[in-house]
Amino acid sequence: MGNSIKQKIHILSRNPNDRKSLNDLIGMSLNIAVTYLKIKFFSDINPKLKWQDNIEEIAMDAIVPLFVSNRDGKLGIIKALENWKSEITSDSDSYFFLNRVIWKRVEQTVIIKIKQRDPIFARIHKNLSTCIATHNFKKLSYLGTVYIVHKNTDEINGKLIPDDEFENLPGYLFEKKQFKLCNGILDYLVTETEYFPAIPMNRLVVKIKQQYFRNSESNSLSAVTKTNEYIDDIFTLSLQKINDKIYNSYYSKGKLTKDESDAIYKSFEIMAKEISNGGLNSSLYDYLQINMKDLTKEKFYTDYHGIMNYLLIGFKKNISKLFEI
Amino acid sequence: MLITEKDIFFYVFYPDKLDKDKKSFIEENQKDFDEQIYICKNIQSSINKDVDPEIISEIEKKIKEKQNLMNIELFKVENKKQMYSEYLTLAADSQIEEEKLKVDTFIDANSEYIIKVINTAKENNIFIFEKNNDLIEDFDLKILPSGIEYEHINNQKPLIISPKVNIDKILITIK
Repeated sequence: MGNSIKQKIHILSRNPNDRKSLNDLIGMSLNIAVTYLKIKFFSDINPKLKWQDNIEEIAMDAIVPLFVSNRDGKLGIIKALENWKSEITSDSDSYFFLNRVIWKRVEQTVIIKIKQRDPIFARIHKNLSTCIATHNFKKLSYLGTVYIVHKNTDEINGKLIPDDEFENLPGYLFEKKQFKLCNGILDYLVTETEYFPAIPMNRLVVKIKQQYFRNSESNSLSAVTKTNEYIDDIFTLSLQKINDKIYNSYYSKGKLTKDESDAIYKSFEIMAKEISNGGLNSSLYDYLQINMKDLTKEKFYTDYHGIMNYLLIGFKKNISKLFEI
Repeated sequence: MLITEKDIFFYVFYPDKLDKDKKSFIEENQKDFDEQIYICKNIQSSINKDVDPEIISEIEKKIKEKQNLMNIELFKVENKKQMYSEYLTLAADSQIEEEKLKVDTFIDANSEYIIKVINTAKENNIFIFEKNNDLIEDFDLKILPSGIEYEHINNQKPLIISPKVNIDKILITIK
């Protein structure tokens, strides 16, 4: 590819429109992002995400902001370079810089997409972010993964807790909230394990969500049963609102037939199950098609997409609003 | 021994440039860094693969679309002035009047973002909201005409500018 990464970045800092350098860097960035996504989230053996999305599309969404120029004509990647704390003196440094920036962008993009599909994840994530910002914590990333650490931690430089061991930390640690939750886990990592005091943020969000969704059969504690009832109530209420909207605003006004209304409502019942179980996995078309076998994409986008998309935004908002943590 | 992500990266990409002790430590404890090493090795073998020109064109198209969405201008909404013409303002009240808060609202053309600026006598408190009240994780903000800039911020806390500046327009760049 001719020039080194360092030279390409240098060229782009002087001329953001240098097509050759731009395309070479875009290609490299895409390759890094696709590989990272495949291994971290969509591995064949143990996929963390079971979406039907095209991995290349997600990778594109992740890298595009790095090649958009701001008002001063400066590319995102050049701005990232200006904010890079270490000095870049060799091509090896610039390789590391490029990788680290892409890993971070991919993680950010995946989180945005998870939040769009799972309003409960989004709500917990938002609350945790507020807790981090308002208490003595901060976020640090290590090979793309975001960790919660104490504010005085400058760099992660120790052994990190593996996913399976984080899963098996004592349940009582996760029964606390906000500051006590984060502080309790960090203290536990220091005093009871050999791991670096850093909490994988997204694993923690998933864990908190699981706490709410624990099956009452697996635990006889009344508090857990109460939690299940609480979750059931949230979904029942949110589905009830959808039902009211479909039948009172669309069916009764002749905008949808009875069969269409039923099919759309059943689609939301499926979506509710998926949201409670990790987030939406399919497109609106796919959900409706389950209940309308002959539905074509053309008919869906002409007749139903607008309605279902509007209903879904309200549905997610309601779940998020009712979910108090 | 303290091993950073850069050490792992160098262990895979540039082993000769890595400190010998660190290299030995990673080799001896490879199990602890399995996933990280695996990711780096896979990236190393894929980073220079040729990318289909059609995909590059698609990315260029997305860049152009994003260009328009990322850079957002927020203009001040003119406050309706309240008229108190029937009341007399006494000179003795003037000091108190100056201490009052003044709130300015800024909004973009698509009403996607709203910024409330609470101006006290000494400072501007800037609150940034997204239309769905979502967290905006990473953005830059520029205040005009002063040109004050903030980079890589989020909207969890208000920005405080002290001493107070005049604000006519606010530019934000979403990352």
